[in-house]
Amino acid sequence: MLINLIHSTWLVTFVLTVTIETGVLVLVIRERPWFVALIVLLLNLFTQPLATVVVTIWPTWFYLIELVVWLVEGIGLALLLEMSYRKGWLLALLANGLTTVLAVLWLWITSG
Amino acid sequence: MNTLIQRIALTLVVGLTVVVALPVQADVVEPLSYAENCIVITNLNDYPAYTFVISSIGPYGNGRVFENSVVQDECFSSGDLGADEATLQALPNDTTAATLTSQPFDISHTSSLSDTGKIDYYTVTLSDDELILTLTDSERTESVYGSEIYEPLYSNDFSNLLPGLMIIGVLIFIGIVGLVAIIILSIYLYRRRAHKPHP
Repeated sequence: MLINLIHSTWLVTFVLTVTIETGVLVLVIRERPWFVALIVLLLNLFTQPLATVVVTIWPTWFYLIELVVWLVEGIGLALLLEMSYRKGWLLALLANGLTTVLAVLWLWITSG
Repeated sequence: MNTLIQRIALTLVVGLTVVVALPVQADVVEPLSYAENCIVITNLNDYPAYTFVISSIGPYGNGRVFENSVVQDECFSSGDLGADEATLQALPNDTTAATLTSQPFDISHTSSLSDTGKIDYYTVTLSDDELILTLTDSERTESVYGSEIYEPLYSNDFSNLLPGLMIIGVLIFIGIVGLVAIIILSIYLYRRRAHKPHP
């Protein structure tokens, strides 16, 4: 059961996260959309599998892990898109905040 | 543009704070509810040939085994389980016997009942080919049947853990691939910027 659950949910979560974060950042930045999409894909390729592993082992660390993911993705955006760290973290907060809120709302809705 | 981003970010911060603070607030208002928010498994002593294991479904929908080697009456806090659904497995101490698993039972259901000061009891009953959990409180009795027989999550030879470890390994590998790709892209961009003629 454990294996099937990881199998069935991770890829869906990954695709949804990348799609939503790319959409948000492209809408805000409005420059080089394909490059922004590539950056978002690579950053999530790095953060999301590792975050999933940690959440699987320590489920109650969900918010702490989201915080670390936000910090790391903010730094990544700042370095790769040539912007200040402040702006990178703001954009990462925008994108990750939205996906986190959606994830928490989804958990609320599905848990009744 | 910056002001717009800051406003949206502030809204998200407030939204996240509310989302995080709501459950915390519930605990502060009703401190006793946490202690009562508890699944009491009874009658386990009647089945000395079995080891009972609670597994639960947590954030991101991943399964997690929280308790093992439960051989007597136990109380599991749904807060400890950190999930809304759980299953109970009866693992036979004699490895030739079948492992019995309940259908998922709803922990949030017990939480809502315990908010009114009640405690739910899950009475465990084993039959030839299924494990039955009977929920009892002052208002109703429900039974959860688990006729499906799964492979045990824990076993002496650990062979059943291998698929799980493989998936965790694959996820870590994907993460490392992502990191390497980011580093390669960073080096490429750095070199391109370095070779760009300055105006």
